[in-house]
Order: sequence, then structure tokens, then C-alpha cells
Amino acid sequence: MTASPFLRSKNEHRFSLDVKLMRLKYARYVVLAIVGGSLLPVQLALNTRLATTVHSTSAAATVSYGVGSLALLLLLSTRRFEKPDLKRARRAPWWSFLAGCGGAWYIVSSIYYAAVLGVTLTTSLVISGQVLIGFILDHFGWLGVTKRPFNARRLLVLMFMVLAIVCLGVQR
Amino acid sequence: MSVLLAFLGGGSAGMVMGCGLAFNARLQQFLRSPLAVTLTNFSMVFFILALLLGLGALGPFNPGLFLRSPWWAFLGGLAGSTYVTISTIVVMKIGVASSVIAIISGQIFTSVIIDQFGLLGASHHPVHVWRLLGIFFLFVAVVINQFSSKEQVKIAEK
Repeated sequence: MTASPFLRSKNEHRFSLDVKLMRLKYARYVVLAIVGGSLLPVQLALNTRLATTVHSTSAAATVSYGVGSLALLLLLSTRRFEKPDLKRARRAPWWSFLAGCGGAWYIVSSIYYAAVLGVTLTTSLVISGQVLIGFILDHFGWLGVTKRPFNARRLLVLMFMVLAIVCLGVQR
Repeated sequence: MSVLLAFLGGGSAGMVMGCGLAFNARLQQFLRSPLAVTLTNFSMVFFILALLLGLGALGPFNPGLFLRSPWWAFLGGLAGSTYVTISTIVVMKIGVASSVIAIISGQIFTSVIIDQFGLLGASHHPVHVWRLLGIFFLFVAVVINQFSSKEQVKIAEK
């Protein structure tokens, strides 16, 4: 038995509407991510400014993270935000607490490598590493992220990212 | 040889950061508070750096010099913590790769603006054609990614 052609087309119409709605929701988070990313150079510029007076990039970074922690502690203590579920947090895998180690590794190594390779090349390498691991984690669904398999379209995206990274890495 | 090591090191720092995004997203599923996740992250970075600094592993520094910097230079951590909070929310919804690509686009775009006008105490670096081309390619990557298949753009409701 086959479904009537009318029913099928109706379902297909609903399907495409669902996808459109999903894309719209998706786009909202993409915009949010772009806004988030645009804060990074602000942090970098302010830290660099701090580092020039203190004559130490790492001391400036330490203070920056200290200020950030204090601000978060203050915000959380106002209790205007969702209360962290500390009971559930005990069941979180141990490695999920380690993002801070990655952050520290990134800061220390980027200061070191910027001195060896220059800021532009270091940035390009860091970005490449991020994009690469992003596709890998998505593809295998590792570390508990939702599985999003690598496909032809993602390959195209990756190619444009490589082009972008190469162009951004060109020294004047 | 040391240059090769530096290449591997620079790339690994990026990979570690990408994993960090996933770590935070995972922790968020249990802690259910992006601010608390960011606090966990930030306080850990602070303690590791403070420890290394105290041990003298990161070179000498003079705490008195902090008094000489303008007050707004201390606010970098606020921008950083807002970024981590946003990324924790976003990674769960749209995946690591799409998040990283969007974050990098915002990052490069703003850094070009800061360089171009010498904002926030940065020195003035006028934009050159290669950087514009790079931004163009980033934009294309974001747009192509946006029109991915249904399977790719599913929003994870966790």
C-alpha cells in the first residue's frame, strides 16, 4: 500500500517548515556565538594594555581571570540567576571540570609561542586546532556532544576556513 | 626542530581550547548554570596561573605596577567571562564546530576593528587586503554552515 500523493506532499510541506524553524533557532545561536567571539579581542586588548604597564603578560592574565572570577561570584550571589545544581554536579564526569586546565595551558603556551612564532602565526595555529577538534568532536560525538557527522558540506566549510586562516596568516 | 615543536604546540593549544568548550558544555548539563560553569573554569585558570606565577615559572613581575594601569584595563576578565558563559550555552545547542566557526568570525571581525581604529589602548594597525579576504572567507564558511542539512542544524535540547 502506498500513501496518497496528496498526503505525502502535505507532510513534505510540514517537514520543510520544521526545518526552516530549526534553521531560524540555529541562526539565533550562531549570532550569539559571533557576539561571544567578538568579546575575545576586547579581552585581549585590555589584557595587553594591562600587560604593558605591569611588564608581564602572565601576571596581567592572572589578574584578568581573578577579576572575572570575582565578578561571576558576585553575580551568582545576587541569586537572580538560575541556582547551580550542586547535587547533580557531583555526578558530572571528573574530566568535565578540567576546562580551566585547558584555558591555563592555552594562555601560557600562547604567550610562549607568540614569542617564538609571532602573534599572527600563533593565532592561525590556535584557530586551526580549534576548527579541527571541533569537526572531530562533532563527528564522533566525543565528550558528550551531540553527534553531527562530517559530510560534503562540512568539508566545504572546512575548505573555506582553511582559506580564511591562510589569508589571515599572510604577513604584510 | 624547535619550530616544528612550536607548530605542534600552537595547534595543540587550539585543540585543548576546543575540548574545553565541550568540557564546559558537559558540565553545564549537570550544573545547570552557565555562570557557575564559567566560575569553575575561571577560578581554575586563576589558581593555576597564580600558582605558576608564585613559583616564578612565568617570569618576574612587580605587583606595585598594577596601581599605575588605568582602571578599565582590569575589565578584560569581564569580557572573557561573558564569552565563556555564552560559549557554554551555544556549544550545547549547535555543536562544537559551528560554535568555533561563529566565535572565530566574531573574534577576527572585532580584532580588525580594534586594530583599524586603535581602540582600547591597542596600537593602530590599518587593515590590509589579505585580512579582508580572510574575513570574506570566514563569512562564506558561516553562511554555508548555516544552510546545512536538517541533521546538522538540529538543536540539541539537553
